[in-house]
Amino acid sequence: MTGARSSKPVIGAWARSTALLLGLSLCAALAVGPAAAEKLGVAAAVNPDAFSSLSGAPKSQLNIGKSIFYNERINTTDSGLVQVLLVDGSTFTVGPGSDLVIDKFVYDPKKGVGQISASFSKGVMRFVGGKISKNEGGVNIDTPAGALAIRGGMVQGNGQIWSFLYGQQMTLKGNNGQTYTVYEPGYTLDLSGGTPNIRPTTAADTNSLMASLTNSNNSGLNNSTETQTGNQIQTTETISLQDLLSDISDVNTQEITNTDTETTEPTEPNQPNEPQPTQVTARVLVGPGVYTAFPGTPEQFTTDDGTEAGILGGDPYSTVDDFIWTFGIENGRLVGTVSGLTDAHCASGDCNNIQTSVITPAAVNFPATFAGCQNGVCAVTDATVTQGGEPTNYIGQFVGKQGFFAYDLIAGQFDDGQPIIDDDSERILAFGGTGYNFGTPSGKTYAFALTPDFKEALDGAIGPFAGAGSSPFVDTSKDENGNFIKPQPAISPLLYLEKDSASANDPSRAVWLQTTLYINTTPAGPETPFDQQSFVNVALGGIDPATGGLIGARRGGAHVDFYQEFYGNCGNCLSYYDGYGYQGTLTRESFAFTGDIATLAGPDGSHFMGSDNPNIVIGFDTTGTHNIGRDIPLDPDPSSVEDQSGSTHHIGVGVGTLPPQGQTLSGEYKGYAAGMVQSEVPQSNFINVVASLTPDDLVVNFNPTTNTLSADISVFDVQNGGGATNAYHIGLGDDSESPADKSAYIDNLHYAAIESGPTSTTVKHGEGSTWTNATSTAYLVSGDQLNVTSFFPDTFAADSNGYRPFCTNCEFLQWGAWGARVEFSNGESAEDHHVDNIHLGWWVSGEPTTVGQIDALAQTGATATYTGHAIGNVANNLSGSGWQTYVAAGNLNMTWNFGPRTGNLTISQFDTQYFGGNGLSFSGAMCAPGVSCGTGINVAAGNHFGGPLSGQLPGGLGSLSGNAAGSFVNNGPNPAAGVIGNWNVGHNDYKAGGIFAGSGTPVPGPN
Amino acid sequence: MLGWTKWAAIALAIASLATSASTPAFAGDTTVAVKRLGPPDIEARREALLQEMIARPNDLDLAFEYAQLSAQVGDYEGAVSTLERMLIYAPNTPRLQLELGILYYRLGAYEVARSYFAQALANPNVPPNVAAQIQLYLQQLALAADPPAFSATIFSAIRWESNANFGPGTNSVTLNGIDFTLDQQSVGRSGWSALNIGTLHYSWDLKKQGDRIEFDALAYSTAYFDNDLNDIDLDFFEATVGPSFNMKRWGLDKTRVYLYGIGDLAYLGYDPYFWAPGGGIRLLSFGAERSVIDARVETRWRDFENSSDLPLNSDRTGFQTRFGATYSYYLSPGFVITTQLYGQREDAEVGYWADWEIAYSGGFAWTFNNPLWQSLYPWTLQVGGGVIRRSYDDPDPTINPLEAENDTMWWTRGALVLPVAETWALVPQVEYRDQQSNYDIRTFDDFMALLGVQKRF
Repeated sequence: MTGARSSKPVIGAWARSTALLLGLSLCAALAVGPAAAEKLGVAAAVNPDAFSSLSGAPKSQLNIGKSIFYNERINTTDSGLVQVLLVDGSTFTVGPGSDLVIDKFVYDPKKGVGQISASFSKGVMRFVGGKISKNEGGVNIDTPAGALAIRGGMVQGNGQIWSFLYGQQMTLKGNNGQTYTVYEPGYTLDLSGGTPNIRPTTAADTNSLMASLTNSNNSGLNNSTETQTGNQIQTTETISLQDLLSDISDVNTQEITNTDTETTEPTEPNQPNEPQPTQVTARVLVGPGVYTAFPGTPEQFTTDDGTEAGILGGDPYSTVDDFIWTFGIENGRLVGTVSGLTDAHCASGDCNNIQTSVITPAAVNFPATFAGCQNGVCAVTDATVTQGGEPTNYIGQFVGKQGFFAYDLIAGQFDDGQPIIDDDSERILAFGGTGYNFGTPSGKTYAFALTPDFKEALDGAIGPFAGAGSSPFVDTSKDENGNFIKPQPAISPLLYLEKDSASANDPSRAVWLQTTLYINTTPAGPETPFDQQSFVNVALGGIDPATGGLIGARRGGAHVDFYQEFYGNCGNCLSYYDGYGYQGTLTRESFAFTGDIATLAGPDGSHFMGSDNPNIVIGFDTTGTHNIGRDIPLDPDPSSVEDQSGSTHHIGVGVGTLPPQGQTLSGEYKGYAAGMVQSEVPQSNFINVVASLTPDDLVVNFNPTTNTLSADISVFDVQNGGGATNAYHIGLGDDSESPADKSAYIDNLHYAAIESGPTSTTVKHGEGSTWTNATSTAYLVSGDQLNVTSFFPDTFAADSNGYRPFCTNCEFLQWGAWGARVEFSNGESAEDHHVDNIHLGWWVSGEPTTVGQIDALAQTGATATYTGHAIGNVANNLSGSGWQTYVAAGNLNMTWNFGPRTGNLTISQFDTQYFGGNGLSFSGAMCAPGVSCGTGINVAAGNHFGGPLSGQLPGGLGSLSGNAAGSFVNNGPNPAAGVIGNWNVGHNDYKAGGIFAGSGTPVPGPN
Repeated sequence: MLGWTKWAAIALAIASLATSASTPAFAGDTTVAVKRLGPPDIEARREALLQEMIARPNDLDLAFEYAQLSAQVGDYEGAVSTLERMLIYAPNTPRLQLELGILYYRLGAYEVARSYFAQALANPNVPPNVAAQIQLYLQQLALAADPPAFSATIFSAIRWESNANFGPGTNSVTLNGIDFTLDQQSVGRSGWSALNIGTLHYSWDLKKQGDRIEFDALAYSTAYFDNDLNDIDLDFFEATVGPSFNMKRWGLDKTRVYLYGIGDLAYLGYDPYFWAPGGGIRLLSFGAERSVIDARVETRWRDFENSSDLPLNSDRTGFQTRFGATYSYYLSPGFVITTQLYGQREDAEVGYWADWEIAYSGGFAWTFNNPLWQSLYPWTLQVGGGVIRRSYDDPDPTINPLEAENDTMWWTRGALVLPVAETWALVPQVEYRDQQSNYDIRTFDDFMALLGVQKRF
């Protein structure tokens, strides 16, 4: 996926790369000790980035199960973690940045006596004694501060402190000749002050050591579905491709299929030099991509510079190679020589002049056995492709599941544990396996964990189907307890709901859904200005009846900051401090995402491969006339469509089926929506709040029979913004009569829809007339699917399962995010061409309480108190450095008296991320139609209330005013068990609008 | 008339209180590790598993079995290192974090335990039952890691004694070789009394690897309902204060040495009876498996006061020095046998009140499930008995100028501790003692029954 900007995201991509590496568990190289040396133990647990070397030999990556010998140096990078288990049962657990050598090990297993001597020069370690440590003088560790003798116990330390956890005693014979003995567990030898000091161990001591000695490597499945799918215990495992494919019968013929059909050169048959013990057939794609018809460009080939390309980007002068090849497996390696392929490319950069040539035969030698894999995902460090006698090393990831395998590789190597990749290299995606047998469909939901696109993730892409160039920078640093300091993206598994039955008349549709959400809700700090970048990606679709694979599309958008060298005026720049006093500028950019998505067929044509669980390879659809991925900038700066376009590919690791989920929403639900419009064309930097007015303006229609939904959103200019468009109407989802993979209704928490079609959008200008030529890309998605509330943990409390509902007992409500990029014009002049963007707007719906039910409550004199939350969008120019737009949340409290039909609504603790403390609070009297509660408030008839809102900005910055509108909704037979609506407040330099929802119980009056 | 024997009774009553309560004076040290010794085949299996683990360290089934067996045989280190390895494989697994927290808690590494419990609780995927367990452990951990500095007990009882004044059983005794008939005041009298005992303990951690300052106070009071027995109503107060030292500095695990000063004050019949400054040294060790050794040497200089009832009481003034040791052995966590031996020298200004005493006693305490309500607190039965021999330096000329007094007392006691709430217990107790003496007037027996209420703070 390419970015739309040539500038890089703020701050480098290394931190993210490190996170990626953790996810890949890179530890594959073998290191074998000399046969003459005697094994004293084994590397019993290894997190990535641990190495060992023997007696000055080059260090190699440490694997689980690797024997440890005398004088073997074990060291770790900043993220490594190793446990060495010695034959007497002692263990050394060594944390990040450590260096340990076991100098001496003598052990008589019959008597249980012996001696361990080790040198620990830096880092963090824990020693847990085995049999040897029970003897006096049994264990001695040389440290920079002196010799540490441990008797019968457990100690942990980092050179500065040594905490005695349990046992007889720990004695340090310091370099000054003094001896310091800790004999009481719970005490620490503190060397930080120069003179050793024995003091009680503090929680801070323990936490800092524990953070380093705890594996914080977790998978990125961060969606609420994670409790079912992502909660599997990750175990590192050793994987052999041969074993995985043991149930695939050997291929008898070697088939060469060059999909590069324009070539006519004769191909040389591949002759294996010697009999292969096992053969395996893979579909191989080698970058760059062929974009046969991406919108607006006549070129057949990408002219991307290759620096930010995904699997199908890269070399600008070469076509994609997509072929099927059979390789051999020899001695744990996948080997074979690919020959006879031809290549087409632009002659001297002129892509109207295509030349073809025969590719030099390439000898492939990839690893086929892997250690340290997690959930089937393994690191590849030593794949090679040799062409013309020139070997090129490839690194990346391998996914191996029973009956399925996939390599995602790029040229490069690891240097001190860090991947150094060749940006200009051609990437390799090779995969294969047997078709998965789903059996008779019965409405099961399958989950797939998508791997990162190796190259794009290294560059900073934050989730599937995302390019680095339009991904916010995500800070992956951790605190002393090993917890992330900043919010991390919520990446859902891809959920695939199969049809209900095999019947040809079955109206159910197979649908799938995958989302990524990121909102940087980090509050402003002393040296970090408030800077909320955000990202949402919604990918969904159905099954292509022609191929049996997944097809669909993705929508979404991002607010991303770029560091930019700044000369002259910068209307939309924010000051940027790097924490070291340097002040630069940030440029904000908003993107809207499009692109069609499809699974790739394996060598046998199967789109789902594997025997235990189905697995997939999925990415942007580059075939036929489909739209490849585009990250379209709102900025009028004309970036070429090529720079906005690209592709990523992901391996969907099958993690099994989900238990049946509730799919009880059916028919129409009405509610409210709100959003923040941003526009750059033709009016730069225009921002306005839009909101729906009545429950009829937001209608979501669920169809559990077809597993689809549709929605209609109408929003209006509610703050009378100068130059604002008066109204937008967007239709989303599937027409229940003729569904077209525009929505996915997996269950009550997981669903989404994208725009129904170009003509589903209408836009009205101020006079009420409709613009012609209005088109949009849009999405509407469940808030639970996105896991929105997890980004606001201070607002939305977690229940005992860690689930954060929008409000307590609010299961009967639906809510979520929506967004759109709307283009419209009257076709008369360039000035009349408009592009408006709504990023992460909000909606809420429910089953409206009938007027009759409200009247009945009024007759009983009922009153109710509703509590819940509000979420919305903010445009903030209080700093005077340009408008920032972002998402904020707060609390809702509303009282209502059904008799007189009046009440009060308060939104409090809103936008605490910006304001700190108690944030903003605004409130006002609400009233029903026909009851007066504020000047100029026109409350629509029916189940509806509204009223003015007012509040103060903190610090005497001024007052806020606006209004709220809402309706009561039922919880099944319980009338008015909830309240939903929208609100907006404004100020010269602060605008906000959003939705609210709360639950409550009407209580009859005294009489 | 109060004989010396009353002091023995006080000592026994206090000992009884200390046993039935959870030894408040040494609250931090009372946990006795009773290892479940694994049969040899478990050890063999563990050794085999260790070697298999070295061959296949990523086999989590092996690791789990090894961790389980290690915890079972008390090798918590083996269990910890194995579970920590599993946690590297399966990061952030609440169940593993809980198990590790429990193991570290058992080892006494409270901060590490707390860290694991906190990690598990912070995990959004922690199952509710695991979270509830963790909360329980965190509560216990808070107590164990930072035991309350103060503890106290109160024991209040109503008591009946067949021979409250420990007078001779008959009114016919031989004094100076002549038979005398005693008046009723001088022979044993039965009586009801109220017994109140309070203890207070304060411990100040010096943050020097387990060294502490300890303060203990004791108040003992009896009040007879029969006015004729009011002259033996006793009020006794004792305070001790001093440092206690962790003997692990010299390799003695779970062993402390206490050095303390003593201050006593006693009233008899509401008249000052004696006061006594003193000092002591005590060794308390839980170091040997299943055993507790409590040895002490104490000496007091007791200054007795004359009163109208006891005009020659000051003749008793002198040093009292006792060497004693108690040894307890836990046959099982719920059954402990205890034996005690001590020798004591009491000096006095007159030889017939100066004596040597040697005593031996033994008994058991058995804690068993409440037979009436299984779910309620378990009951404890305490049964014990002993013998005390006493030899005085000189004959008492008023009784027998030729022969110094020699006494032998046998005693036996049974008590049942019936907890009715977490810190409340009912204590019915019976006791019988029989003393034979070459001085008839010192020969008596006494049956005592009491019903007490005990409250711990």
